[in-house]
Amino acid sequence: MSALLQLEGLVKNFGSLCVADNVSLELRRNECHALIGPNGAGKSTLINLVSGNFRPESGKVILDGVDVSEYATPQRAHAGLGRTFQITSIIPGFSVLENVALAVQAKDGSSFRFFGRASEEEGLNGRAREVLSTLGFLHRQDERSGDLSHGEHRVLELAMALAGAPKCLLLDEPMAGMGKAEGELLTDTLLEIKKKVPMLLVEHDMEAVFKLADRISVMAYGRIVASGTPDEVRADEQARAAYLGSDAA
Amino acid sequence: MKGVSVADAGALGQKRRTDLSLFIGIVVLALLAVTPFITGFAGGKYVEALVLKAMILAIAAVSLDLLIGQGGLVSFGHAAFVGLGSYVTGIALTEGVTNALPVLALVISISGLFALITGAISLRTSGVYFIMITLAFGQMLFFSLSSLSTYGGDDGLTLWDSPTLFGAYIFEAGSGLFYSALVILALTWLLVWRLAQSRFGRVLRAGKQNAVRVGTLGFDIFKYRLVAYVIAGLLAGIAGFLTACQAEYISPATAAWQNSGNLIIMVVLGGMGTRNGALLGALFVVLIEESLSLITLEWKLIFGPLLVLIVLFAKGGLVGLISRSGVRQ
Repeated sequence: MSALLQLEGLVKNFGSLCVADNVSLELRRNECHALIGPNGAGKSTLINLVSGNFRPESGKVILDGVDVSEYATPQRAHAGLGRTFQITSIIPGFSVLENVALAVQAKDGSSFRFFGRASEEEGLNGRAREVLSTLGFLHRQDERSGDLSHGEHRVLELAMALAGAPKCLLLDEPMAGMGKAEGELLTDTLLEIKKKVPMLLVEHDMEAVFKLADRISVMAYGRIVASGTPDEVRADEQARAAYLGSDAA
Repeated sequence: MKGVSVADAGALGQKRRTDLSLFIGIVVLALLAVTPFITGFAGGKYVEALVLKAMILAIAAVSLDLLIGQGGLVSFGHAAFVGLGSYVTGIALTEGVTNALPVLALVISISGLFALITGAISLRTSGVYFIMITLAFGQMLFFSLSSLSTYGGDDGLTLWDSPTLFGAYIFEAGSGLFYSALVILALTWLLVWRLAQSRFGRVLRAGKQNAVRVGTLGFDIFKYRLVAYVIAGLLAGIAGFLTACQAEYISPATAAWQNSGNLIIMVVLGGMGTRNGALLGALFVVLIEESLSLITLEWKLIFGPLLVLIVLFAKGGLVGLISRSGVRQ
């Protein structure tokens, strides 16, 4: 079976700085592929290239056999890419439920409907509540999302990405800024989600990465310097030099 | 169980606020409806004409709030659509088209088309650039209207006729026009709020807060904004139609940027993105301007600081002031 998501030779420059240097990567069906590396290695850039928020100089993004390289961000979302942001990106003035319902709405028929209250559409709210309850977040549905704590924002981010029923998830540091307990809870949730939705995971929390990842790629200076199973990467000299540090072994 | 009851309480509070704003809006419109009877005893035709002028501006302001309040799109050229609507009306009448239906159809399609073209260009930009480019398109139209020498050029043009609907002069200055404008205002007020609550409006409102996220969820926000721009433009065009009918005169000055600025002031002062904000803002600005100017010639010296005070101390504009005093009760 072919890979679900294939990145082929992606190149992106910011001025003279090459932040993605001919990056190729595969996300197989039913796997969590973690992307690790030091700050500035180009991990978030890569996520942005896949989601379409950045346009590459060259290279291809192929999702489920379809070349989506020329697609704009909204079209890529429709093709099945769901993502979260490293820096919380939600609709702060909406309630938690409405944030998720908006994400459901994006995949549920036309949104060029000018009458009828969107907030009273049971189809949208029902699906949104389902997603919230799988994340154990239903009790916060009426909260104004801007008022949530940082950790809760991270969960809401994930809920919005899941609500679009994506073929694959791009998670940009989902644990960023979370406490240890919160992070462990989220890791467990992601383990559950992983069974249904393959994910490309950028994360600094190594404990979470080694718990979740089926394969790991190590990035440094816009290049992938090592790739393999967690054990292979742990043993790889270059990977250790680039990121894990010599005491990681 | 506890979670459920808290959720219900939240929904109830929301519902009460919604009901209150609906009630206030209906009261305001009802007050407008009885104005001609009151002015029959005091104030006379002058006050009635003033309230009519305020209602017509309120139509334009409410339509502008769809852009500013719901979409976060600060258009500084909205008066251009009012000017365009009045010119289409004036030119049609001068050329002998007096049936209101074709005139209105022309007004709606031409202002809608102008909005579609200028919006498609303006909405490629954002923030200050959007403000500047809408201003530029507005001024472009202003100068174009000024150069229409056949139709009065700079001086504008007096209209010798008014549109009729099935032979009735309901758009002739007077109580016919007053109630026609009131009906159109009520419909605009209803329409814009319904739009804001719909699926379409939800995307628009979300895009105001976080356009990147909305795009990543799968919405092409540009399309939603363009549709909103066209709707707001053609509604302002209809306000222009009424302007021409009331004044029995068309002038390029209607499209001038000062009027666009006035519309923004009305929206911000009343309370952006609220059910009644633009409506109250427009009525307030017109009436307060007029009453102050009756008291003193230097009324602008009072009006300016008053605006500053309201913007500084009434968070959420007049509507914010009202709803806070409602909560206290």
